[in-house]
Amino acid sequence: MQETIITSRKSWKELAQELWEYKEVFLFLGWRDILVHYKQTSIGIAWVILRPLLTVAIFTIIFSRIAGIESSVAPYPLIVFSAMLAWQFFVDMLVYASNSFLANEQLVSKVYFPRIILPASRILCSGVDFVVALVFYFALSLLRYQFIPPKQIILFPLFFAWLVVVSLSVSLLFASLIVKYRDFRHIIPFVSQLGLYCTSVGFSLSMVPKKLIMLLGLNPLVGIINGFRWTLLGEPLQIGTIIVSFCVTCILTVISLWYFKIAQDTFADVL
Amino acid sequence: MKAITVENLSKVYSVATAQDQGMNFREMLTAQASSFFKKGLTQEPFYALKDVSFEVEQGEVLGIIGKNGSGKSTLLKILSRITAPTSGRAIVRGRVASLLEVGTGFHAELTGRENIFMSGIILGMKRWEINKHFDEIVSFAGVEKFLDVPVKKYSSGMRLRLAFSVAAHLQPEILLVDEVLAVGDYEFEKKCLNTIKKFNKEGRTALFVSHSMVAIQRLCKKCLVLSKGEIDYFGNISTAIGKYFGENVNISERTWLEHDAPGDNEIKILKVRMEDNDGKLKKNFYYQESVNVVVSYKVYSNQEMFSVMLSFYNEEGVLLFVSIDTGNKQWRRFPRKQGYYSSTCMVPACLLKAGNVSVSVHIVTTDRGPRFEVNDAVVFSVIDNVLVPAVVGDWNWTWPNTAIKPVFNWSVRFVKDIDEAER
Repeated sequence: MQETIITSRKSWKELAQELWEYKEVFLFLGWRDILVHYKQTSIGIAWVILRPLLTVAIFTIIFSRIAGIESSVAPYPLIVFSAMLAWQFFVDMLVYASNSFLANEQLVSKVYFPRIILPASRILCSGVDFVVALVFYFALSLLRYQFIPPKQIILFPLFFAWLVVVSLSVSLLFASLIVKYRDFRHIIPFVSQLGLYCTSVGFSLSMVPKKLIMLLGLNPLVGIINGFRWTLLGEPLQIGTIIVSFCVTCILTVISLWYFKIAQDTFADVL
Repeated sequence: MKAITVENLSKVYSVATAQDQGMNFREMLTAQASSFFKKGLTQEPFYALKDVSFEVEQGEVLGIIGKNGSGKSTLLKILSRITAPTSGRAIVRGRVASLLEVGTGFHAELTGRENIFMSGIILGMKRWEINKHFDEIVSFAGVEKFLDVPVKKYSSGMRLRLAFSVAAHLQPEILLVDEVLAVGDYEFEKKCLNTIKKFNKEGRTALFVSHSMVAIQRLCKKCLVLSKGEIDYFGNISTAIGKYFGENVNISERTWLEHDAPGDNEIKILKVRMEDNDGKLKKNFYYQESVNVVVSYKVYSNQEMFSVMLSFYNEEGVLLFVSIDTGNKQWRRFPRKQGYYSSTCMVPACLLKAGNVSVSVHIVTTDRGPRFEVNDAVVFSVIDNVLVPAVVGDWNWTWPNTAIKPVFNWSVRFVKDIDEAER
C-alpha cells in the first residue's frame, strides 16, 4: 500500500516522484486550458495566426520599408516571423502561467497536486498555438517566398525545448512571487510590451555591432531566437551569444526552482 | 493496521505571515531590513495546531469537532497536503482524496461531460476509473440531458448535484471531508451522509469535520475534539460531544457594551440572560422549573417592527423549537420606538429533558424578515434526576429517549359502551 509521509519540507526527489504520479492532472489542466482558450471565440484558431501576422506586417512596414533595414540572409518578413514564433510562446506563458496560481486559487487552496503543474500545464496550450503558427510559417516560407529551410532544421526541436525551459522558469518565478507580492502582476504587461524591443525580433544579430552581441545574450530569448533563425533560415550562429544565453538560462532556472520550492509550502496559506 | 498516524503535528502562522498577506514588495523589503537591525523584536507565533498526535484505524470514520478557529480545517489541509506542517509528521497509508469543497476543479465554460473528467482527475481519480463510472455519475446527478451544455448554464442545484456525484464516485482508501454537508438542502445532506456511510461499509477510512452533531453521531464511533489547536479529547463519540458543549456550558449571561454589541444602526442586543422565576441569574434548571430567557436590546429608529425570536438547540445540534415575542398580541404589527426593551421568553416547566440547551437569538422584522442573529448566545443545563410521575406515570422501565420531554393533559374516564365513547 502506498504510504505518504507528510513533513514540513519535501525533498527534490519526492517532488519529482509526485510529478510523475500526477501526470494526468498535468494533461487535463492543459486540455482544459486549450478548450477554454477556444470556446466562445468565433474565429478560434485564426487568432493564433493573426497575432504574429499583424506584428510581422507592422515590423515589415516600419523597419523594412520606412527605416530601410536590409537583410542579407532571408526575406525580412521571415526574419521577423521566425522570432515571433518564440516571442509569442514566451509572452503567452508569461501572461497566463504567471497568473496561474492566482487564477486557480480555488484549486490551490482546496486540493493537492504538485503546484508546478499549474504553470507547467500552460505549455500544452501555448504549444498548440506554437505548432499552428509554425505550420503557417512553413506555408508562408515555402509557398510565398520559395525559401527552403537549411538542413540544420533537424536541430529545431532542441531550441524549442530551450524556449520551453526559459518560458517556464520565468513564469514560474513570477507566479510564485505574485502569490505573495501582487506588485509583480503589474510588471508583466510592461515586460511583454517593452521586451519585444529588447529582444532581437525586428532585427537580425548580424546587423548588431560585434561588441553588443555578447551583451544582448543576457536576454536568453536572444540566444534562442538566434538558434531559431539558424535552423529555420540559416542565419549564422553567434556562439558567444548562445553561450551567454545558455548560462543565463541555467541561473534563471535554478533561482526559479529554488524560490518556488520555498514558497510553495505556504501558497495555500497566503493566497 | 493504522490508516493515519499523526505525530506531534504543529502548524504555526507567525503573525508576520498574516501581515504578509497585505504586504507589497517594498513593504516586505523595509520590514526585512528593519528586522535585521532589531533582532530582539520577534512577533508572537500563532499556533493553529499544537503538538497534535493521534491514530486512526483502517476502516474507521473519525469525527472532528471544535469551535471555529480550533484547527479542524488546518488539520485536514495538512493531511491532504494542501499546506505543509511547521513541525511533526503524519503518515498516511493509502490513496487520499479530500473533499474540502463541492465542485473543486469545475470550470464554468466547460460542459458537464468535460467537467466530470476535469473534477474527477483533480480529485484524484484515474481516467479509466472515470470512464468506468461515467454513466453512474451522470445518472446519480440526473443531468443526462445537459451533458454537453456548458456548466455556466446549469442551475446552482444542478451544478451542486453534478459536483457531488463526481465526488461520491471517488474510490480512495482514505477520504477527508470538511463541512461539505453545510451547503446543501436536506435531501442533499442525506445523500452525502449515505455516501459516507456506504463508503465506510466498504472498509474505507474517513475523517469527517462537521458542526452537525447529528451527522457526527450517525457516522462516527470515535471523535476528536480540538480546542485552540490542541486535542481536548479523543475517544468515544458521546463523551466527545459532551466535551464540545462543555466548552460552551454555563454561559448564563452575556452582556455587550453598546459600541461593540451585535446589531446594526437600528437595533443592538445588549444583554442575554438566563433567569429563574424570581429574576435571579441561573445556569442549572431543574426539570420541574420554568426557564426564562431575557433579551435586552436598544432600538434607535422609530419605524421598524422588530421582534425577538429564540431558537433552542440540544447538545446534538437538533433544533428543538423556536419562539417569537410577537406571539404576544400586544406588540404584533406595532413599531418599537426608540429606547430600551427587554423581551422575556418563559419556557414552561416539564418540557426540556436533561442536558445542555443552547439558545440562539434572532432579531427579525415584520416586513423584511430576519435581521441578524447571535448563535449560541446563552447555554443552560437542565437537570432531571427524579422520575416525575407526571411524565412517566406507572411506567417502570426505561423511558424512551426523545428530544423533548413534555407533559400533556390526558383525560381518562369510565364509559358504559363503545357508543358512548364515540360521542
